[in-house]
Amino acid sequence: MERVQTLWCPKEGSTDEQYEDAYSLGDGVASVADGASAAVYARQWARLLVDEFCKDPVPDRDDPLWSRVSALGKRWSDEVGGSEGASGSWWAEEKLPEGSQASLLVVRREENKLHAASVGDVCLFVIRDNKFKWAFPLKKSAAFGNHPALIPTDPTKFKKKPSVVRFSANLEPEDRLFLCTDAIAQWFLMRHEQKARPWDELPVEEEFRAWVQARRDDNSLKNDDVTLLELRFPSSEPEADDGG
Amino acid sequence: MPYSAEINRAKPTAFCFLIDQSGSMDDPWGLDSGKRKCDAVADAVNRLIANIVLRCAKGEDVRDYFQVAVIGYGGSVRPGFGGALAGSTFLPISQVADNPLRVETRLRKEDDGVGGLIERNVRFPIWFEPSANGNTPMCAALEEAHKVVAAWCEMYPLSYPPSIINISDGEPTDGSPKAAAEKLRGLETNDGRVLLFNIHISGASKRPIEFPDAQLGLPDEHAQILFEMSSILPPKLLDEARREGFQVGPQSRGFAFNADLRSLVQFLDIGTRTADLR
Repeated sequence: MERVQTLWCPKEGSTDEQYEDAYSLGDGVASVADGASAAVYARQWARLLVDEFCKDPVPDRDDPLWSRVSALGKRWSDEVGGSEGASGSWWAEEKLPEGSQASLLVVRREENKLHAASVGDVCLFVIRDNKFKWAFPLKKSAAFGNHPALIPTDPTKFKKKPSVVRFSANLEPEDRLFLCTDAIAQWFLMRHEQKARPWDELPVEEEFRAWVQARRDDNSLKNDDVTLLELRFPSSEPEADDGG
Repeated sequence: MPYSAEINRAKPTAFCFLIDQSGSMDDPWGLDSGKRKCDAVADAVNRLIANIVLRCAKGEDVRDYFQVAVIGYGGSVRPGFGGALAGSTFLPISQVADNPLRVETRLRKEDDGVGGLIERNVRFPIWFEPSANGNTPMCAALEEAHKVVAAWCEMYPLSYPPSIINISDGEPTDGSPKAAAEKLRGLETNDGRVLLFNIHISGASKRPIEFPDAQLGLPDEHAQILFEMSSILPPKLLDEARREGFQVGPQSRGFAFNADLRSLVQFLDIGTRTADLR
């Protein structure tokens, strides 16, 4: 898969350093994560998740997936436990044991087959011949809520693990794939429901922040961190590329 | 639509606690708790402020989504914060977080994830000390709240409106609080009128009445006045109350009568939940 463009910006009122989404691309694989707003060190957790699942595929079964998440959660704990802010203050000491959370989407190509796995509301849209082909895992703009499924840093704490949703489909050359965190995914679906072609409305990278601000101002885009990764499925083999 | 403003650092919201510190708060709360009412209320408010801080703690910093004021009333009306925060009314939550009077270590029972309970040492910051003295000048406290909340609304006209939470065990000694409450509830931001919640606490073993939607069934005139003083819950708080298992309807008010310690803590928690923080 070839990266066409990556569009991102933090929520209004936050700096680039406070942006808590993450994305990564590997050899035939791409992932996008959305760190939970209320969680502690969510940016670091989102980054660890996308890197991990771009390096090795998401297992087909849930148990090995949660084992890997647990190991990754320990890395998160080691990483943030010694960072500035975590030591000394009562609130950091109390909040760290709660862990962090993020939603995640991973897409992987095998030959002409696309495999996607998702926890939460990071979405994949596939556009074929300039027409909307698939939406995964959410299909309607009304389906977005305030409590998406999230991957916790310590899944052993939860008797009921969040659902991992999987999707497979055949790709065709020149298919366009859009991986989007929830705010822009909701906008994308809303524009589709309004019979528009949202993929044609996206600006170039340099104009993205102004474009986002205009949509936040007219309330068509929720104020949240925004990430949109556009990929193309070419006829030839892809080249690896790191992002984020 | 009212009560839908996004809460962010440019548009924070505010919580103002009015706490009865009159002489009767020295009475024990319930037969077995071993606690005075004032101790239990101080614990509940300190725990709630800590929880509010934790909602805003992102690891590196505490983000100023909220401002908090505490007003005590017992004999007289006074700001409730002490130490470095003494004399202040509304303060950004990061400043509150960094300036407790002290941080105690307490044991807390927690779910161990496999059906049992474990005890864990937790850090318990103290901002607000128990106090019980004098009469119950609730009207004066509501007037003081009006003053500080009006100033706040002027500063943050686009914000989610402030929530005022009044905790008391008895009847006011300075007249009927209805007019002062109505005046306070009349304050507003562009996102709606301020919300006034009332919690009447009791050591009696009577069943608490929480989030009632009618005066019917309330035991006396005092309960009826507190009901009338309380705001109707906005839809998001109704949903939160429903999620916690309360039977609520569209006219349910932010009012608890004969609240025990459990319902006080739960009520405070629901009353301070807001929309998503950005």
